[in-house]
Amino acid sequence: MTAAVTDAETASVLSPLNFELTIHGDAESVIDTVWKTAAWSVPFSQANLTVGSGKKQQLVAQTRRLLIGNSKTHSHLVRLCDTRTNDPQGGSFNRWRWQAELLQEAFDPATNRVSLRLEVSRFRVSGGCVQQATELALFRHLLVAALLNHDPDLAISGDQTHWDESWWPVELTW
Amino acid sequence: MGLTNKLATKVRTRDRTELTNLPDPWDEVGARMADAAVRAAVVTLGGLRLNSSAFRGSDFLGINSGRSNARSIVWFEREDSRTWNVALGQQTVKGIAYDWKATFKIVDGPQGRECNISTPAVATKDGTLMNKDAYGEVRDLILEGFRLGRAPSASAEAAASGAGLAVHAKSPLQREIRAMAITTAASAEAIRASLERLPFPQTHTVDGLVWGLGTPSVDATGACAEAAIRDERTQRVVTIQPRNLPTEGFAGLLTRSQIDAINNLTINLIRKDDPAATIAGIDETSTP
Repeated sequence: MTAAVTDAETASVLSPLNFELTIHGDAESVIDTVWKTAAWSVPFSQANLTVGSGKKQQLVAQTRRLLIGNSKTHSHLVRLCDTRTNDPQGGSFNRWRWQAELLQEAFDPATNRVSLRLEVSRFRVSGGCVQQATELALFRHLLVAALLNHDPDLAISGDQTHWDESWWPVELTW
Repeated sequence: MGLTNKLATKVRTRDRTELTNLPDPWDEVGARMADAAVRAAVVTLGGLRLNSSAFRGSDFLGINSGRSNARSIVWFEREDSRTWNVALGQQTVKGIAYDWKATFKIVDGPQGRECNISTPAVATKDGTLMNKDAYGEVRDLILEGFRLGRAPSASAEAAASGAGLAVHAKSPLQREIRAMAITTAASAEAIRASLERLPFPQTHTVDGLVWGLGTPSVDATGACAEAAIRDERTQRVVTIQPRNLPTEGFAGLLTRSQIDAINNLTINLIRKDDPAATIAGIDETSTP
């Protein structure tokens, strides 16, 4: 299933994004809440695997979702992972599709101005396609939306931040 | 023949050190340039439409290798601001079946800024490195990028992104979203302060607040989550109730995920003040 992607939409989902904003409140706590809001707002999807076991085929149920972690160099990290119900602790985290990190580059306590940088530090490419680019594009868009809700004067530089609903067609009804 | 191939593979994948022209300051300029060079090389390699086999082991006549042949995957991993891993291979149920994995580490040596290249994972067939041309090509592309000392064109990245966006995400999970109630000993003021920290458009009400859902690009006009705080004996009960959620399309999916995020964030924030706060209405095991 494919969608038409126009030139205007073909910005890189892998390139870094730079943000400058004024933080109202404790910077670490605000950034943590914004980060979790974006990560937890990305919908889960089914990513089941059919595995050959001898002559039999076995279905391994997997849920694709964003998991939050910690890194040595960046304070905020998120990975899109394929999770299984009976995974041991940390087992799902190694089954990643991409990873994004948020670096706090500068903070001026006098003005509460902070500079942040989003970087995609892990990804997979196959057949000329960035894998799971849809979820990555949505996460970037949701992060910008959350930051804008905190500071409407947010300054952004970088590539893809917009979202087009045709990137994730949904046929469900509730 | 096999011995000659093995020797060629050993020479091809031996550790090397090459000079670079990556500039200072490292963190603000050099590291970003290097990262862009590795990304560009990886997406270029990913566009070559190579095939890899998931089969490992002895394979007389190559039947098993042929059966498990599929489009290769290229992995990009940045370990820290000076180290990148690039790998080619296949994803298997048990993990990655590497054709090869190369590590590029930037160090400051006596002659200037250098790149140490090592190849910690190698798979061979009759002694020959699998997808050996791709190995040579990506290594040369990355080193050329490091030698040029300027950012590569972003066109390859944009093309791979556009192609990736044209392949739709898997079927979303249809999750049931219910109202939630949290009982806590925290004060109404502390609870209100926690609720106000959630980065959604807010409207204050007499007993709480309302968060608007959707995003600037996802129209979900009228969809919201209402939070109300009420006293119950010596405790407070916080209820979160979804309202007017779209019944179809992407907006329906996103707003339900946003409600899920609001529920989980509210639990997290209230439990910072009161770890003993109890929840009713949602399955706590779904909390990430």
